[in-house]
Amino acid sequence: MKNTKNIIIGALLIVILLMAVGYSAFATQLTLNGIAEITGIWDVKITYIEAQEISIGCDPGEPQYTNTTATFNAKLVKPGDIIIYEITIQNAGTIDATLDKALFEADDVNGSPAIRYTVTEPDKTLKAGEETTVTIAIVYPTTTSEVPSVKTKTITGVIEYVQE
Amino acid sequence: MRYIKNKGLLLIITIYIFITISFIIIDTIFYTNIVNPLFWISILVYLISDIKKGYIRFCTNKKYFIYMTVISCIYIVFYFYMGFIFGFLKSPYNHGIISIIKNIIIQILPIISIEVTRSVIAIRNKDNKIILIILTILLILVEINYNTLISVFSNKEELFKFICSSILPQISFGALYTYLALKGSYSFALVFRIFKELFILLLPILPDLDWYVIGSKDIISAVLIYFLFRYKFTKENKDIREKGKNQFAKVSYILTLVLSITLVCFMLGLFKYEPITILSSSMVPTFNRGDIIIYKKLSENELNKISENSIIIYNLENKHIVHRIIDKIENNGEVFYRTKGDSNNVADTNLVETNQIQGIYMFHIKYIGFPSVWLYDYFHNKHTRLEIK
Repeated sequence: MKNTKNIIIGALLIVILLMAVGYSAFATQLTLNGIAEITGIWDVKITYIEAQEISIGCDPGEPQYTNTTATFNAKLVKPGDIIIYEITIQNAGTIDATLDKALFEADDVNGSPAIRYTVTEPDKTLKAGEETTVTIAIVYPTTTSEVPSVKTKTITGVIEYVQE
Repeated sequence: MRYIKNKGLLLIITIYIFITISFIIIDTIFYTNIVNPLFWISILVYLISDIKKGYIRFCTNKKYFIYMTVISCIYIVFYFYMGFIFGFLKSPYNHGIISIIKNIIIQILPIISIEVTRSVIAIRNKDNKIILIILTILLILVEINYNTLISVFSNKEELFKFICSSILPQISFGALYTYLALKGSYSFALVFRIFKELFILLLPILPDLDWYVIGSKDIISAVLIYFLFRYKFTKENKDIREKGKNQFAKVSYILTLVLSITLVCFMLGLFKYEPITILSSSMVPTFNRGDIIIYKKLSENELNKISENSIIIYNLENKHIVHRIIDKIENNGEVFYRTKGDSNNVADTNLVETNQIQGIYMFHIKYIGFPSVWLYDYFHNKHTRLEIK
Protein backbone atom coordinates (compact mmCIF):
# COMPACT_ATOMS: atom_id res chain seq x y z
CA MET A 1 0.00 0.00 0.00
CA LYS A 2 2.71 2.40 1.05
CA ASN A 3 4.70 1.36 -2.00
CA THR A 4 1.83 2.34 -4.29
CA LYS A 5 1.69 5.74 -2.63
CA ASN A 6 5.43 6.23 -3.08
CA ILE A 7 5.28 5.20 -6.73
CA ILE A 8 2.41 7.60 -7.42
CA ILE A 9 4.05 10.51 -5.68
CA GLY A 10 7.41 9.72 -7.34
CA ALA A 11 5.77 9.52 -10.77
CA LEU A 12 4.01 12.82 -10.13
CA LEU A 13 7.28 14.52 -9.24
CA ILE A 14 9.07 13.12 -12.30
CA VAL A 15 6.27 14.13 -14.67
CA ILE A 16 5.98 17.62 -13.19
CA LEU A 17 9.76 18.11 -13.39
CA LEU A 18 9.90 16.82 -16.96
CA MET A 19 7.09 19.13 -17.97
CA ALA A 20 8.85 22.05 -16.26
CA VAL A 21 12.00 21.26 -18.25
CA GLY A 22 9.93 21.13 -21.43
CA TYR A 23 8.17 24.35 -20.58
CA SER A 24 11.50 26.08 -20.05
CA ALA A 25 12.76 24.78 -23.36
CA PHE A 26 9.76 25.98 -25.35
CA ALA A 27 8.94 29.28 -23.70
CA THR A 28 10.05 32.05 -26.02
CA GLN A 29 11.34 34.05 -23.11
CA LEU A 30 14.25 31.67 -22.86
CA THR A 31 15.91 32.95 -26.00
CA LEU A 32 18.84 35.11 -25.28
CA ASN A 33 20.52 36.54 -28.34
CA GLY A 34 22.81 39.51 -28.64
CA ILE A 35 23.12 41.49 -31.83
CA ALA A 36 26.90 41.23 -31.95
CA GLU A 37 26.99 37.64 -30.88
CA ILE A 38 27.87 35.13 -33.54
CA THR A 39 24.94 32.74 -33.35
CA GLY A 40 25.02 29.31 -34.95
CA ILE A 41 24.17 29.27 -38.63
CA TRP A 42 23.02 26.11 -40.30
CA ASP A 43 23.85 26.14 -43.98
CA VAL A 44 24.75 22.81 -45.58
CA LYS A 45 24.24 23.03 -49.31
CA ILE A 46 25.23 21.86 -52.76
CA THR A 47 27.67 24.32 -54.25
CA TYR A 48 28.68 22.74 -57.54
CA ILE A 49 28.10 19.86 -59.91
CA GLU A 50 30.23 19.02 -62.90
CA ALA A 51 30.79 16.16 -65.30
CA GLN A 52 34.39 15.13 -64.80
CA GLU A 53 34.97 12.19 -67.09
CA ILE A 54 33.05 11.78 -70.29
CA SER A 55 33.56 8.99 -72.84
CA ILE A 56 33.87 10.13 -76.44
CA GLY A 57 30.54 10.83 -78.05
CA CYS A 58 28.61 10.89 -74.75
CA ASP A 59 26.54 13.89 -73.68
CA PRO A 60 26.61 14.80 -69.98
CA GLY A 61 23.89 17.43 -70.50
CA GLU A 62 23.95 20.55 -68.38
CA PRO A 63 23.88 19.49 -64.76
CA GLN A 64 21.75 21.81 -62.66
CA TYR A 65 21.85 22.46 -58.95
CA THR A 66 20.18 24.51 -56.29
CA ASN A 67 21.13 24.66 -52.62
CA THR A 68 19.42 21.36 -51.96
CA THR A 69 19.01 19.61 -55.30
CA ALA A 70 21.28 18.46 -58.11
CA THR A 71 19.98 17.17 -61.41
CA PHE A 72 21.82 15.65 -64.37
CA ASN A 73 20.82 13.93 -67.57
CA ALA A 74 23.50 11.57 -68.88
CA LYS A 75 23.34 10.21 -72.42
CA LEU A 76 25.51 7.17 -73.08
CA VAL A 77 26.06 5.82 -76.60
CA LYS A 78 27.77 2.44 -76.57
CA PRO A 79 28.88 -0.27 -74.16
CA GLY A 80 31.88 0.86 -72.16
CA ASP A 81 30.74 4.48 -72.04
CA ILE A 82 30.97 6.29 -68.72
CA ILE A 83 30.11 9.73 -67.37
CA ILE A 84 31.25 10.73 -63.91
CA TYR A 85 29.59 13.60 -62.08
CA GLU A 86 31.10 15.21 -59.04
CA ILE A 87 28.79 17.04 -56.68
CA THR A 88 30.30 19.38 -54.12
CA ILE A 89 28.57 19.81 -50.78
CA GLN A 90 29.69 22.58 -48.52
CA ASN A 91 28.99 23.37 -44.90
CA ALA A 92 28.79 27.13 -45.22
CA GLY A 93 27.32 27.55 -41.76
CA THR A 94 28.92 27.67 -38.35
CA ILE A 95 27.52 24.42 -36.98
CA ASP A 96 29.32 21.11 -37.57
CA ALA A 97 27.23 18.58 -39.44
CA THR A 98 27.23 14.84 -39.53
CA LEU A 99 25.93 12.52 -42.23
CA ASP A 100 22.65 10.98 -41.21
CA LYS A 101 21.62 9.29 -44.43
CA ALA A 102 22.99 8.77 -47.95
CA LEU A 103 20.56 6.72 -49.92
CA PHE A 104 20.65 6.14 -53.67
CA GLU A 105 18.26 4.03 -55.62
CA ALA A 106 17.49 3.41 -59.25
CA ASP A 107 14.17 2.67 -60.83
CA ASP A 108 15.03 -0.89 -61.86
CA VAL A 109 11.45 -1.75 -62.74
CA ASN A 110 10.87 0.87 -65.41
CA GLY A 111 14.48 1.80 -66.10
CA SER A 112 16.94 0.22 -68.46
CA PRO A 113 18.78 -2.74 -66.96
CA ALA A 114 21.76 -1.85 -69.14
CA ILE A 115 22.53 1.34 -67.23
CA ARG A 116 24.55 0.91 -64.08
CA TYR A 117 25.79 3.40 -61.54
CA THR A 118 28.16 3.66 -58.63
CA VAL A 119 28.21 6.31 -55.93
CA THR A 120 30.89 7.32 -53.44
CA GLU A 121 29.55 8.29 -50.04
CA PRO A 122 30.23 11.83 -48.82
CA ASP A 123 32.32 12.47 -45.70
CA LYS A 124 30.63 11.39 -42.50
CA THR A 125 31.51 14.60 -40.70
CA LEU A 126 31.31 17.97 -42.33
CA LYS A 127 32.83 20.58 -40.07
CA ALA A 128 31.78 24.20 -40.44
CA GLY A 129 33.45 25.63 -43.54
CA GLU A 130 34.46 22.24 -44.97
CA GLU A 131 33.52 20.70 -48.30
CA THR A 132 32.95 17.15 -49.40
CA THR A 133 32.17 15.56 -52.73
CA VAL A 134 29.90 12.83 -53.95
CA THR A 135 30.94 11.10 -57.15
CA ILE A 136 28.36 9.36 -59.28
CA ALA A 137 29.53 7.26 -62.18
CA ILE A 138 26.96 6.34 -64.81
CA VAL A 139 28.11 3.33 -66.81
CA TYR A 140 27.01 1.45 -69.94
CA PRO A 141 28.75 -1.85 -69.19
CA THR A 142 30.89 -3.53 -71.83
CA THR A 143 29.19 -6.82 -71.02
CA THR A 144 25.98 -5.59 -72.65
CA SER A 145 25.63 -7.55 -75.92
CA GLU A 146 22.49 -6.08 -77.39
CA VAL A 147 20.86 -2.68 -77.56
CA PRO A 148 18.30 -2.52 -74.75
CA SER A 149 14.71 -1.63 -75.62
CA VAL A 150 14.42 0.74 -72.65
CA LYS A 151 17.13 3.33 -72.84
CA THR A 152 16.67 5.50 -69.79
CA LYS A 153 16.91 5.05 -66.06
CA THR A 154 16.06 7.37 -63.18
CA ILE A 155 18.48 7.38 -60.28
CA THR A 156 17.45 9.24 -57.14
CA GLY A 157 19.63 10.05 -54.22
CA VAL A 158 18.99 11.59 -50.84
CA ILE A 159 21.76 12.81 -48.58
CA GLU A 160 20.84 14.11 -45.16
CA TYR A 161 23.14 15.99 -42.87
CA VAL A 162 22.11 16.73 -39.32
CA GLN A 163 23.56 18.84 -36.59
CA GLU A 164 26.55 17.08 -35.02
CA MET B 1 -3.26 -16.31 -16.09
CA ARG B 2 -6.06 -16.16 -13.68
CA TYR B 3 -9.65 -16.85 -14.54
CA ILE B 4 -11.29 -14.05 -16.45
CA LYS B 5 -15.02 -13.62 -16.40
CA ASN B 6 -16.32 -14.08 -19.94
CA LYS B 7 -18.32 -10.88 -20.12
CA GLY B 8 -15.30 -8.80 -19.10
CA LEU B 9 -13.11 -10.53 -21.66
CA LEU B 10 -15.71 -10.05 -24.38
CA LEU B 11 -15.95 -6.34 -23.56
CA ILE B 12 -12.17 -5.94 -23.60
CA ILE B 13 -11.90 -7.63 -27.01
CA THR B 14 -14.79 -5.54 -28.39
CA ILE B 15 -13.19 -2.31 -27.16
CA TYR B 16 -9.84 -3.36 -28.61
CA ILE B 17 -11.43 -3.98 -32.03
CA PHE B 18 -13.28 -0.68 -31.80
CA ILE B 19 -10.03 1.20 -31.06
CA THR B 20 -8.39 -0.42 -34.09
CA ILE B 21 -11.32 0.53 -36.34
CA SER B 22 -11.56 4.05 -34.93
CA PHE B 23 -7.85 4.54 -35.60
CA ILE B 24 -8.54 3.88 -39.31
CA ILE B 25 -11.61 6.11 -39.66
CA ILE B 26 -10.70 8.91 -37.30
CA ASP B 27 -11.09 11.91 -39.49
CA THR B 28 -14.78 11.71 -40.25
CA ILE B 29 -17.79 13.51 -38.85
CA PHE B 30 -19.67 10.27 -39.39
CA TYR B 31 -17.41 8.54 -36.88
CA THR B 32 -17.62 11.31 -34.25
CA ASN B 33 -21.34 11.94 -34.55
CA ILE B 34 -22.69 8.48 -35.32
CA VAL B 35 -20.27 5.55 -34.95
CA ASN B 36 -18.72 6.49 -31.61
CA PRO B 37 -21.97 7.36 -29.73
CA LEU B 38 -23.76 4.35 -31.26
CA PHE B 39 -21.01 1.98 -30.24
CA TRP B 40 -21.08 3.18 -26.64
CA ILE B 41 -24.89 3.18 -26.49
CA SER B 42 -24.81 -0.45 -27.69
CA ILE B 43 -22.31 -1.32 -24.97
CA LEU B 44 -24.53 0.42 -22.40
CA VAL B 45 -27.57 -1.55 -23.58
CA TYR B 46 -25.54 -4.75 -23.35
CA LEU B 47 -24.65 -3.91 -19.75
CA ILE B 48 -28.16 -2.99 -18.63
CA SER B 49 -28.75 -6.52 -17.33
CA ASP B 50 -25.79 -6.09 -14.95
CA ILE B 51 -27.25 -2.82 -13.69
CA LYS B 52 -30.75 -4.29 -13.34
CA LYS B 53 -29.48 -7.32 -11.44
CA GLY B 54 -27.70 -4.96 -9.10
CA TYR B 55 -24.36 -6.45 -10.06
CA ILE B 56 -23.03 -2.94 -10.26
CA ARG B 57 -24.74 -0.11 -8.46
CA PHE B 58 -24.84 3.56 -9.28
CA CYS B 59 -23.88 4.53 -5.78
CA THR B 60 -22.57 2.26 -3.08
CA ASN B 61 -22.15 4.97 -0.51
CA LYS B 62 -24.06 8.25 -0.61
CA LYS B 63 -21.44 10.02 1.50
CA TYR B 64 -18.69 9.28 -1.03
CA PHE B 65 -20.96 10.44 -3.83
CA ILE B 66 -21.52 13.80 -2.10
CA TYR B 67 -17.80 13.97 -1.35
CA MET B 68 -17.01 13.51 -5.06
CA THR B 69 -19.65 16.10 -6.04
CA VAL B 70 -17.98 18.63 -3.74
CA ILE B 71 -14.53 17.79 -5.17
CA SER B 72 -15.92 18.18 -8.71
CA CYS B 73 -17.36 21.60 -7.85
CA ILE B 74 -14.04 22.72 -6.36
CA TYR B 75 -12.23 21.48 -9.48
CA ILE B 76 -14.59 23.43 -11.74
CA VAL B 77 -14.30 26.62 -9.67
CA PHE B 78 -10.52 26.24 -9.60
CA TYR B 79 -10.47 25.64 -13.36
CA PHE B 80 -12.63 28.67 -14.06
CA TYR B 81 -10.61 30.82 -11.65
CA MET B 82 -7.50 30.08 -13.71
CA GLY B 83 -9.12 32.13 -16.46
CA PHE B 84 -8.71 35.24 -14.31
CA ILE B 85 -4.98 34.60 -14.22
CA PHE B 86 -4.35 33.40 -17.77
CA GLY B 87 -7.29 34.94 -19.61
CA PHE B 88 -10.42 33.59 -21.24
CA LEU B 89 -11.35 32.56 -24.73
CA LYS B 90 -14.70 32.16 -26.43
CA SER B 91 -16.06 28.62 -26.21
CA PRO B 92 -15.86 26.79 -29.53
CA TYR B 93 -19.21 25.09 -28.82
CA ASN B 94 -22.54 26.28 -30.15
CA HIS B 95 -24.95 27.15 -27.33
CA GLY B 96 -28.26 26.68 -29.14
CA ILE B 97 -30.57 24.14 -27.46
CA ILE B 98 -30.30 21.62 -30.29
CA SER B 99 -26.52 21.93 -30.38
CA ILE B 100 -26.29 21.48 -26.62
CA ILE B 101 -28.43 18.32 -26.80
CA LYS B 102 -26.40 17.04 -29.73
CA ASN B 103 -23.12 17.73 -27.91
CA ILE B 104 -24.39 16.03 -24.78
CA ILE B 105 -25.29 12.92 -26.80
CA ILE B 106 -21.96 12.92 -28.61
CA GLN B 107 -19.78 13.69 -25.60
CA ILE B 108 -21.55 12.58 -22.45
CA LEU B 109 -23.27 9.35 -23.52
CA PRO B 110 -19.95 7.70 -24.39
CA ILE B 111 -18.57 8.84 -21.02
CA ILE B 112 -21.47 7.18 -19.17
CA SER B 113 -20.97 4.00 -21.12
CA ILE B 114 -17.19 4.03 -20.65
CA GLU B 115 -17.53 4.38 -16.89
CA VAL B 116 -20.21 1.68 -16.61
CA THR B 117 -17.99 -0.62 -18.71
CA ARG B 118 -14.99 0.18 -16.54
CA SER B 119 -17.00 -0.56 -13.43
CA VAL B 120 -18.38 -3.88 -14.76
CA ILE B 121 -14.98 -5.19 -15.84
CA ALA B 122 -13.14 -3.86 -12.79
CA ILE B 123 -15.60 -5.33 -10.30
CA ARG B 124 -15.70 -8.69 -12.11
CA ASN B 125 -11.90 -8.85 -12.16
CA LYS B 126 -10.97 -6.96 -9.02
CA ASP B 127 -8.28 -9.47 -8.07
CA ASN B 128 -6.72 -9.68 -11.52
CA LYS B 129 -4.20 -6.86 -11.79
CA ILE B 130 -3.32 -7.66 -15.41
CA ILE B 131 -6.91 -7.30 -16.54
CA LEU B 132 -7.26 -4.06 -14.56
CA ILE B 133 -4.15 -2.64 -16.23
CA ILE B 134 -5.30 -3.74 -19.72
CA LEU B 135 -8.73 -2.25 -19.01
CA THR B 136 -7.25 1.08 -17.92
CA ILE B 137 -4.93 1.24 -20.94
CA LEU B 138 -7.75 0.39 -23.38
CA LEU B 139 -10.07 3.01 -21.92
CA ILE B 140 -7.26 5.57 -22.12
CA LEU B 141 -6.65 4.62 -25.77
CA VAL B 142 -10.37 4.96 -26.51
CA GLU B 143 -10.31 8.61 -25.48
CA ILE B 144 -7.12 9.73 -27.21
CA ASN B 145 -7.71 12.15 -30.04
CA TYR B 146 -5.89 10.31 -32.83
CA ASN B 147 -6.65 13.03 -35.32
CA THR B 148 -4.60 15.51 -33.30
CA LEU B 149 -1.98 12.90 -32.50
CA ILE B 150 -1.37 12.21 -36.18
CA SER B 151 -1.33 15.89 -37.08
CA VAL B 152 1.37 16.65 -34.49
CA PHE B 153 3.35 13.43 -34.93
CA SER B 154 5.98 14.79 -37.33
CA ASN B 155 6.68 17.85 -35.17
CA LYS B 156 8.65 16.78 -32.11
CA GLU B 157 7.86 19.93 -30.14
CA GLU B 158 4.12 19.74 -30.79
CA LEU B 159 4.12 16.02 -30.04
CA PHE B 160 5.80 16.67 -26.67
CA LYS B 161 3.18 19.30 -25.85
CA PHE B 162 0.35 16.99 -26.90
CA ILE B 163 1.71 14.17 -24.73
CA CYS B 164 2.00 16.51 -21.72
CA SER B 165 -1.35 18.24 -22.13
CA SER B 166 -3.48 15.34 -23.29
CA ILE B 167 -2.00 11.87 -22.98
CA LEU B 168 -0.38 12.17 -19.53
CA PRO B 169 -3.55 13.69 -17.96
CA GLN B 170 -5.60 10.92 -19.58
CA ILE B 171 -3.28 8.31 -18.10
CA SER B 172 -3.56 9.93 -14.65
CA PHE B 173 -7.33 10.23 -14.78
CA GLY B 174 -7.70 6.77 -16.34
CA ALA B 175 -5.85 5.20 -13.42
CA LEU B 176 -7.89 7.28 -10.96
CA TYR B 177 -11.22 6.25 -12.52
CA THR B 178 -10.28 2.56 -12.36
CA TYR B 179 -9.32 2.98 -8.70
CA LEU B 180 -12.65 4.70 -7.97
CA ALA B 181 -14.57 2.01 -9.87
CA LEU B 182 -12.88 -0.66 -7.77
CA LYS B 183 -13.56 1.13 -4.53
CA GLY B 184 -17.18 1.95 -5.08
CA SER B 185 -19.09 2.38 -8.26
CA TYR B 186 -19.02 4.12 -11.59
CA SER B 187 -20.86 7.08 -10.08
CA PHE B 188 -17.72 8.64 -8.54
CA ALA B 189 -15.85 8.93 -11.82
CA LEU B 190 -19.06 9.72 -13.66
CA VAL B 191 -20.08 12.68 -11.53
CA PHE B 192 -16.60 14.20 -11.88
CA ARG B 193 -16.46 13.66 -15.61
CA ILE B 194 -19.97 14.97 -16.27
CA PHE B 195 -19.27 18.10 -14.24
CA LYS B 196 -16.09 18.66 -16.22
CA GLU B 197 -17.75 18.02 -19.56
CA LEU B 198 -20.84 20.14 -18.88
CA PHE B 199 -18.61 23.01 -17.77
CA ILE B 200 -16.84 22.93 -21.14
CA LEU B 201 -20.01 22.42 -23.19
CA LEU B 202 -22.22 24.99 -21.51
CA LEU B 203 -20.02 27.93 -20.63
CA PRO B 204 -19.73 30.66 -23.29
CA ILE B 205 -16.16 31.45 -22.23
CA LEU B 206 -13.43 29.10 -21.13
CA PRO B 207 -10.05 29.63 -19.45
CA ASP B 208 -7.34 30.12 -22.05
CA LEU B 209 -4.70 27.76 -20.71
CA ASP B 210 -1.51 26.67 -22.43
CA TRP B 211 -0.31 23.08 -22.63
CA TYR B 212 1.81 23.29 -19.50
CA VAL B 213 -1.02 24.62 -17.34
CA ILE B 214 -3.52 22.07 -18.70
CA GLY B 215 -1.12 19.17 -18.16
CA SER B 216 0.00 20.20 -14.67
CA LYS B 217 -3.55 21.05 -13.54
CA ASP B 218 -4.96 17.68 -14.62
CA ILE B 219 -2.09 15.49 -13.46
CA ILE B 220 -1.90 17.15 -10.03
CA SER B 221 -5.72 17.09 -9.71
CA ALA B 222 -5.86 13.36 -10.50
CA VAL B 223 -3.18 12.57 -7.89
CA LEU B 224 -4.80 14.87 -5.35
CA ILE B 225 -8.26 13.31 -5.82
CA TYR B 226 -6.67 9.87 -5.50
CA PHE B 227 -5.09 10.79 -2.15
CA LEU B 228 -8.24 12.50 -0.90
CA PHE B 229 -10.33 9.40 -1.63
CA ARG B 230 -7.70 7.09 -0.31
CA TYR B 231 -7.62 9.05 2.92
CA LYS B 232 -11.42 9.04 3.10
CA PHE B 233 -11.67 5.28 2.46
CA THR B 234 -8.99 4.56 5.05
CA LYS B 235 -10.64 6.81 7.60
CA GLU B 236 -14.12 5.39 7.01
CA ASN B 237 -12.95 1.79 7.14
CA LYS B 238 -11.13 2.53 10.37
CA ASP B 239 -8.12 0.67 9.09
CA ILE B 240 -5.91 1.16 12.11
CA ARG B 241 -2.92 -0.44 10.41
CA GLU B 242 -2.89 2.29 7.80
CA LYS B 243 -4.33 5.10 9.80
CA GLY B 244 -1.71 7.14 11.53
CA LYS B 245 0.87 4.45 10.89
CA ASN B 246 3.39 6.82 9.52
CA GLN B 247 2.75 10.48 10.13
CA PHE B 248 6.08 11.33 8.57
CA ALA B 249 5.05 9.70 5.27
CA LYS B 250 1.76 11.63 5.27
CA VAL B 251 3.56 14.92 5.79
CA SER B 252 6.05 14.09 3.04
CA TYR B 253 3.21 13.31 0.58
CA ILE B 254 1.47 16.57 1.34
CA LEU B 255 4.79 18.40 1.07
CA THR B 256 5.49 16.80 -2.33
CA LEU B 257 2.08 17.85 -3.62
CA VAL B 258 2.54 21.40 -2.33
CA LEU B 259 6.03 21.50 -3.85
CA SER B 260 4.70 20.29 -7.22
CA ILE B 261 2.01 22.98 -7.25
CA THR B 262 4.53 25.64 -6.18
CA LEU B 263 6.96 24.56 -8.90
CA VAL B 264 4.23 24.83 -11.55
CA CYS B 265 3.21 28.29 -10.30
CA PHE B 266 6.87 29.38 -10.21
CA MET B 267 7.48 28.17 -13.77
CA LEU B 268 4.35 29.97 -14.93
CA GLY B 269 5.57 33.24 -13.45
CA LEU B 270 2.77 33.61 -10.94
CA PHE B 271 5.17 34.88 -8.29
CA LYS B 272 7.19 38.09 -8.21
CA TYR B 273 10.29 36.07 -9.11
CA GLU B 274 10.51 34.05 -12.30
CA PRO B 275 13.13 31.67 -13.73
CA ILE B 276 14.68 31.77 -17.20
CA THR B 277 16.96 29.19 -18.75
CA ILE B 278 19.90 30.65 -20.63
CA LEU B 279 20.19 29.25 -24.13
CA SER B 280 23.07 31.30 -25.52
CA SER B 281 26.42 32.68 -24.44
CA SER B 282 26.03 36.43 -24.92
CA MET B 283 26.37 37.16 -21.19
CA VAL B 284 29.51 35.10 -20.53
CA PRO B 285 31.26 35.36 -18.05
CA THR B 286 28.40 36.68 -15.88
CA PHE B 287 26.39 33.55 -16.61
CA ASN B 288 26.60 30.79 -19.18
CA ARG B 289 24.44 28.72 -21.46
CA GLY B 290 22.66 26.13 -19.31
CA ASP B 291 22.42 28.36 -16.25
CA ILE B 292 19.08 29.43 -14.84
CA ILE B 293 18.64 33.03 -13.82
CA ILE B 294 16.01 34.29 -11.44
CA TYR B 295 14.64 37.72 -12.24
CA LYS B 296 12.36 40.00 -10.30
CA LYS B 297 9.32 41.55 -11.93
CA LEU B 298 9.26 45.28 -11.45
CA SER B 299 6.48 47.64 -10.47
CA GLU B 300 6.06 50.90 -12.37
CA ASN B 301 7.82 52.74 -9.59
CA GLU B 302 10.74 50.32 -9.62
CA LEU B 303 10.99 50.51 -13.41
CA ASN B 304 11.90 54.19 -13.22
CA LYS B 305 14.70 53.47 -10.77
CA ILE B 306 16.69 51.05 -12.96
CA SER B 307 20.27 52.16 -13.10
CA GLU B 308 23.15 51.63 -15.52
CA ASN B 309 25.00 48.34 -15.17
CA SER B 310 21.84 46.48 -14.15
CA ILE B 311 21.00 43.33 -16.09
CA ILE B 312 17.47 43.49 -17.41
CA ILE B 313 15.09 41.09 -19.11
CA TYR B 314 13.28 42.78 -21.94
CA ASN B 315 10.91 41.82 -24.67
CA LEU B 316 11.83 42.18 -28.34
CA GLU B 317 9.60 40.72 -31.05
CA ASN B 318 8.26 37.98 -28.76
CA LYS B 319 11.76 37.08 -27.64
CA HIS B 320 13.01 37.93 -24.23
CA ILE B 321 16.56 39.16 -24.06
CA VAL B 322 18.74 39.32 -20.96
CA HIS B 323 21.40 42.01 -21.37
CA ARG B 324 23.19 44.65 -19.34
CA ILE B 325 22.24 48.35 -19.44
CA ILE B 326 25.23 50.38 -20.59
CA ASP B 327 23.52 53.73 -21.05
CA LYS B 328 20.35 55.51 -19.96
CA ILE B 329 19.05 58.05 -22.47
CA GLU B 330 16.33 60.60 -21.77
CA ASN B 331 14.55 62.11 -24.71
CA ASN B 332 11.49 64.40 -24.44
CA GLY B 333 10.70 63.02 -20.99
CA GLU B 334 10.89 59.42 -22.18
CA VAL B 335 13.57 57.06 -20.92
CA PHE B 336 15.39 54.62 -23.21
CA TYR B 337 18.09 52.12 -22.33
CA ARG B 338 21.04 50.99 -24.41
CA THR B 339 21.90 47.36 -23.68
CA LYS B 340 24.73 44.99 -24.52
CA GLY B 341 25.63 41.37 -23.85
CA ASP B 342 28.77 41.11 -21.73
CA SER B 343 30.54 38.96 -24.31
CA ASN B 344 29.29 40.95 -27.29
CA ASN B 345 31.57 43.39 -29.10
CA VAL B 346 28.95 46.06 -29.71
CA ALA B 347 25.77 47.29 -28.10
CA ASP B 348 22.35 46.09 -29.22
CA THR B 349 21.00 48.14 -32.11
CA ASN B 350 17.56 48.74 -30.64
CA LEU B 351 17.06 51.01 -27.69
CA VAL B 352 14.88 49.47 -24.98
CA GLU B 353 11.76 51.31 -23.86
CA THR B 354 10.49 51.05 -20.29
CA ASN B 355 7.38 49.14 -21.35
CA GLN B 356 9.57 46.42 -22.90
CA ILE B 357 11.27 45.63 -19.61
CA GLN B 358 10.02 42.55 -17.82
CA GLY B 359 12.28 42.44 -14.85
CA ILE B 360 15.71 42.71 -13.36
CA TYR B 361 18.29 39.96 -12.88
CA MET B 362 18.66 38.85 -9.27
CA PHE B 363 20.89 35.78 -9.26
CA HIS B 364 21.66 32.66 -11.22
CA ILE B 365 22.05 28.95 -10.56
CA LYS B 366 24.71 27.19 -12.56
CA TYR B 367 24.09 24.24 -14.90
CA ILE B 368 20.57 23.26 -13.77
CA GLY B 369 19.03 24.60 -16.97
CA PHE B 370 20.95 22.12 -19.13
CA PRO B 371 18.07 19.60 -19.42
CA SER B 372 16.00 22.39 -20.98
CA VAL B 373 18.89 23.36 -23.26
CA TRP B 374 19.32 19.75 -24.42
CA LEU B 375 15.60 19.40 -24.98
CA TYR B 376 15.54 22.68 -26.91
CA ASP B 377 18.48 21.53 -29.06
CA TYR B 378 16.83 18.17 -29.62
CA PHE B 379 13.56 19.72 -30.75
CA HIS B 380 15.28 22.30 -32.89
CA ASN B 381 17.91 19.99 -34.34
CA LYS B 382 18.87 21.41 -37.71
CA HIS B 383 19.23 19.24 -40.78
CA THR B 384 19.55 19.56 -44.51
CA ARG B 385 18.23 17.15 -47.06
CA LEU B 386 20.07 17.16 -50.38
CA GLU B 387 18.44 15.50 -53.34
CA ILE B 388 20.30 14.28 -56.36
CA LYS B 389 18.69 13.02 -59.56
